[in-house]
Amino acid sequence: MIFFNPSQLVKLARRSAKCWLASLLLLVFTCSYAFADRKYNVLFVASKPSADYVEVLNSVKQQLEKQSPERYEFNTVFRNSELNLKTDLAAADFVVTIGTAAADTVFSTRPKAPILSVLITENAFSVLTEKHYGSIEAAFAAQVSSICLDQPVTRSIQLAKLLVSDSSGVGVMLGPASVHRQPELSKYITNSGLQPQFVSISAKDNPIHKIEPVLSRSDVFIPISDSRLINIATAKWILHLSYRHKVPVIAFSKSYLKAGALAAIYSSPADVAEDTVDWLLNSTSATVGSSNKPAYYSLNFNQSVAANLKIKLQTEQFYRDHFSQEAK
Amino acid sequence: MAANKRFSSIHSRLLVTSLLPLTLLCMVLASYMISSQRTLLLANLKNIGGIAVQQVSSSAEFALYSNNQEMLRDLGESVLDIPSVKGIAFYNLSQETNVTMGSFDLSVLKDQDEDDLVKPFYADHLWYFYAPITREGIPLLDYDEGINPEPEVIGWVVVSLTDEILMEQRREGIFAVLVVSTLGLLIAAWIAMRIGRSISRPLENLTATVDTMEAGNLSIYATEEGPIELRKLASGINQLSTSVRQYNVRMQSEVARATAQLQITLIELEDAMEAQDQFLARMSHELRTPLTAVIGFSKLLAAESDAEKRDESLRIISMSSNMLLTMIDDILEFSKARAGGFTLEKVSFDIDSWMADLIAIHGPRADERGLSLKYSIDENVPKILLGDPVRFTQVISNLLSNAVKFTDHGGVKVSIACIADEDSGVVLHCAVEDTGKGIKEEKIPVLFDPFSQEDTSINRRFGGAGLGLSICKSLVQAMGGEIKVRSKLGQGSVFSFTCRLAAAEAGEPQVKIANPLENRDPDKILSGVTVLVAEDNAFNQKLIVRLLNAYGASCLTADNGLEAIDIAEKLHLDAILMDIHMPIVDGITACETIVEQSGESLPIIGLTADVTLAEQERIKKAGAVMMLLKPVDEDKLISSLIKVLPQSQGREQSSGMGLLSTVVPVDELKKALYENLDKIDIQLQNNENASLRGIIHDLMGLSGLYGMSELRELVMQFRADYGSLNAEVNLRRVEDIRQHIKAFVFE
Repeated sequence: MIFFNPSQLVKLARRSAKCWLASLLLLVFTCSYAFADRKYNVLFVASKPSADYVEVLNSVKQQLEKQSPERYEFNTVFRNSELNLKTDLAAADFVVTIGTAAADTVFSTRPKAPILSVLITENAFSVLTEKHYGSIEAAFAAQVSSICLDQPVTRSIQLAKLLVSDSSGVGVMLGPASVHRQPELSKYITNSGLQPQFVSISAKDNPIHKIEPVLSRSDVFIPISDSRLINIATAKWILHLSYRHKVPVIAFSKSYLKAGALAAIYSSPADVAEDTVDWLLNSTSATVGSSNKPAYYSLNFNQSVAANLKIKLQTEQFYRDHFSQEAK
Repeated sequence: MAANKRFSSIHSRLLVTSLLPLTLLCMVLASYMISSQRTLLLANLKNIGGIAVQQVSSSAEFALYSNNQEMLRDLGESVLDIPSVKGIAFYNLSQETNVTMGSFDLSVLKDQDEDDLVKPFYADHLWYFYAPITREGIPLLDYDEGINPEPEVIGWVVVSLTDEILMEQRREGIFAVLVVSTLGLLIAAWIAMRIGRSISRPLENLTATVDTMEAGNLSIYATEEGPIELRKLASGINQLSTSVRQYNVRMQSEVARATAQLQITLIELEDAMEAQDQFLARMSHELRTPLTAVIGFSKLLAAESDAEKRDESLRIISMSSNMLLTMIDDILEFSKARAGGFTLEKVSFDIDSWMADLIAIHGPRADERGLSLKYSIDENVPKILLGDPVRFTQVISNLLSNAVKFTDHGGVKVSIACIADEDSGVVLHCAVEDTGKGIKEEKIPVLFDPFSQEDTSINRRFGGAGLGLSICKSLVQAMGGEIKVRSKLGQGSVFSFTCRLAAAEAGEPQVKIANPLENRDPDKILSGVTVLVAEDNAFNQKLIVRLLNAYGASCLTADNGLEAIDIAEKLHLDAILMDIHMPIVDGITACETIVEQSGESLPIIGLTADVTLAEQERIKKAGAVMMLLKPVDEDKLISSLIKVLPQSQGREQSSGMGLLSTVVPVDELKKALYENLDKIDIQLQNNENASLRGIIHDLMGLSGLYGMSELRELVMQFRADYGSLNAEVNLRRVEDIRQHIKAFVFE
């Protein structure tokens, strides 16, 4: 039987601690070296191979390769050809879903890699996370993030203020999904020196009966993007009433603009790609999920409508500058 | 009738022909136009209604959805401005009418099922057009992936259109069509009448002209007017009229000429008839003269017992018969000449030899009359010539015969010379010169005409039918020459003719005057030959059989064509002498049948008294190799038989039993004969005559079939007598027949 005295024991303990420390340092060094050279596998899952979707993913790839060459490798899957989706998801470091259907598909598999959903409305994202993760918070916890299509309403209100004079009435249409924002918006509009006129629409309402009184009293009308059903049911009548009462409409999509709105603030494929690139560059495997407003936006006007309403428009840059100042 | 008359004129028919189809066409076109206009107007109305209701429905979406009645009225007002639109109604899904404007019967709408509202419907002079008013959302979202909701029907719009304007337009359209059709019809009728008149008037004029011409007035001319066809017709009628006039003139002269010709022909015909009558009278006389001699001397012959007188009678009968035969031969030759029926042979012959024979034939006659008969052949005549020596010498013989006949003193000289020697042949000039009484100059032109003699006294004095010279002329013409006569009354005549013959090559076989009986023993010449004599006349049959038997031939006999066919089929024969006119089956048919049965190996010689060429042709066509005329000349018959028989025939000696031994076993024949006789005996003994006639007939058939003519005679006699005799006598007669068979047939 061997016996150690206390000094020997202290020495032995010190020597062991040194060995453990050296081993730990070696392990950290080795791991950091390994991670430093490893490429991130980014999996793009798109709803369909249509032009806008392909533009988004190509643009993202190009920018990432330009900004961080050799750091990312890409894999693209369209929802309709998801044969090896699970394998691809398992191998991915980041998953980017492009479109609502793609998000639905990927959420259903609940992959371990962080997920970013783009080309999706705030409402759709909320519905899908509740469907697959139980709640939006649970989704965030599962590293599910989104950059929604819904531009901040404040930009539309700022634009309205630039288009009409002070103390003018601003009509705002809210749906079931956005009605909770009425106080916030009312305060912001009032602070902007404008008079808010709110109309809340439900699925059972006759939109004409509800919208016309508000719209007829407004100098500018801003429909807030809501559920798809509310958007489809109201858009036609908003534009019709806008035409009848000669009230400009500031819309939230390019299609709305083309159909007869005066102006639209929306996310183009290029804007979405920019937001996605930013998110990927700033994300790690430990990134917590979140719902993000788009940082980039597009601003367009319908010159024909403006001419009919006799509204003199400034250059796009003028409005963008104004938005920047307001933001500061 | 009146209607028929009314439409019988070409003018009326032209009018009807042009107007009837035109009227029908107008009616059809008018109906079509009215119908198509109605369809078009209705389609137009429906189109207006459809467009109006569709436009209103799309415009009314907002107003109906917002229940904005003022806006709906505004819309309705805009639609009511359309002339045909009488009313408009908007109502929502719960059938609550929001707005109704104009004249509108809502009760009509309530009766309609919504499913039937797709098509417009008609009620109480109004057309109703339905269209749904739908609410349709538009997706104004970028990157939208959802499905668009179906349009939602929120109500209906109904537009009513009146058909009054349509009816008014239809009335106007019908009126316009009727006016245009009537106008067109009237113009067409006017044009048709004009055209019809332009055709019918010239036609009426032409008809009148033709009527006048029919009445005999050919001097009238048709006016050439109207269409080109009618002008051509008028021109044709005028030309026809001119032609008819000219033809009438020509016909009149033709008739006059023909009448004159007919009169001449009539005179010639009368002359010819007279000549024929004279000829017939002469023929009658000439035929009667020798016939009288034959009949008279035949009777004397029967009564005469003195051998010398019998011989004299026989000589006269023979001579008279020959005269008759010569006359008939002349007629036959004449008949051939008239029919152009001379067929000239082309064989080589020695002219000197033939002339010598000819002089030898006529020499005795000339000697009898104390005439000299000479002939000379010029040296330039080729010795051997190629032609038909028989016909050539026939002409000379005829002329020579006449010369001898008509010359009382002096002589007759025949001279032959060659007057042309060409590659194609030689032309001979033959002259027969006599020192006879000569011919009157005026008779010379008709001398070669048939039935002509210098005068009737010649006929009476010298006989003859007056056909000899005519036959000579025909023969000379057939030989490519011509015949002439030069004569001086009281000094004599020279008959000369030319003929074209060819010079024969040396070494060619020559033909001599054939005499088949020459150098032959008449008893043996037909030995071993079996000849079937088919002749219904018993006397002729018997004559021919005896004649042939005399030359050693065995004969079978047949009374008709059927028997001849039967025998020819069953027995071996060397030749058949076939009478043409026989009962049951005639000779022609029998010939055809036998030739068909036996082929052409069995020679058949036809016998006929019909001298016409047609009859002779008929016989030859039936298969006869030769034809002999009745009365049969013995020499001709025998020579003909020898000619037609194969060379080996006629030289065999008869075997005694002859036919019977060659055809059927004697024992069998004997047995058959005796069996029949025994049957007859039994019948007679039992007095059963029922089948007696049949047995006798069989016996006759057997005896006839096998050429036992005497036995056949006996049986025939028995058949004629047995009914009138008693059984005993009959049995004795049968026994006689049996003895005859024993004695003559099989011993």
